[in-house]
Amino acid sequence: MSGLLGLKDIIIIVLPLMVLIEVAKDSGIMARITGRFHPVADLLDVSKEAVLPLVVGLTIGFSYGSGIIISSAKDGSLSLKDRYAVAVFLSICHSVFEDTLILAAIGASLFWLLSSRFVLAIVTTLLTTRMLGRGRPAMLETDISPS
Amino acid sequence: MVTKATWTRGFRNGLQTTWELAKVIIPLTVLIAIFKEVGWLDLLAIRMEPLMALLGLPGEAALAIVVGYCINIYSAIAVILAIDLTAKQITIIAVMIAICHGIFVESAITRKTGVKAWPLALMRIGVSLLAGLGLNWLY
Repeated sequence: MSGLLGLKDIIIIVLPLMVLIEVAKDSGIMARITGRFHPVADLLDVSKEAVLPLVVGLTIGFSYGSGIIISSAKDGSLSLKDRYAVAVFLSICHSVFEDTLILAAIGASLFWLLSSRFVLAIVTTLLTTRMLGRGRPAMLETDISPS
Repeated sequence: MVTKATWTRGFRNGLQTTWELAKVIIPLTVLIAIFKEVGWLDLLAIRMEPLMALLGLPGEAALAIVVGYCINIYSAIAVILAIDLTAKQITIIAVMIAICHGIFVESAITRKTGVKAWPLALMRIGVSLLAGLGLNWLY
């Protein structure tokens, strides 16, 4: 029974949320919000090319961000360090709108959901890229499999 | 430009997501009710009690975390809704699950970007557990 009650709360959030996302996309508001996230790339010390997959993954979703890395990594515009930085960051923090609001709908704190994920993603990414700079990155190089 | 198509697309996406959620939540709710009735949930809860206590969670919460790690956020939500939790406990589980979920599917995506997936998956689990410990202490 509790499952069904929870589902009702989720519908109340999800339905308007999805409409809002589409309106934000088509009205150009999404592009403006996305633009606001560019300082995140500066903070992470990644190249210009890594900004787009980072921002797309952070806001829209992991597979969309990864899709951009896959296509741009094939033509060689993303370094190993950039790819690791984006992968580490996005694996911890992605789809911030959808994931956060769905979990908030069942009673989790919005503040802790957003802040802890974001801060931990930044710290872990910086630690990883520092380590890559010092260690033997060749060990972590893998073939990019054809999709 | 926002047209009628924008609204219908949004509405359709909303219904689709709700349907995806319902497909997971309804059967899982029934399954958990059965587990509870048979006593398996209590068994798991007793086993996991000491570990979950570190995170400020009851033993049953282990099921929500494992289901979230292995499957996805939606399935973890089904478990969260089925057990009695305080707002703090829901937040701790939610943060842990938000950081680490759907390990198998998402690792497969990661591998395609030319990054080693297993160290990343381990790191995610580690960060998630640390977040749980930290939040239990901070909140």
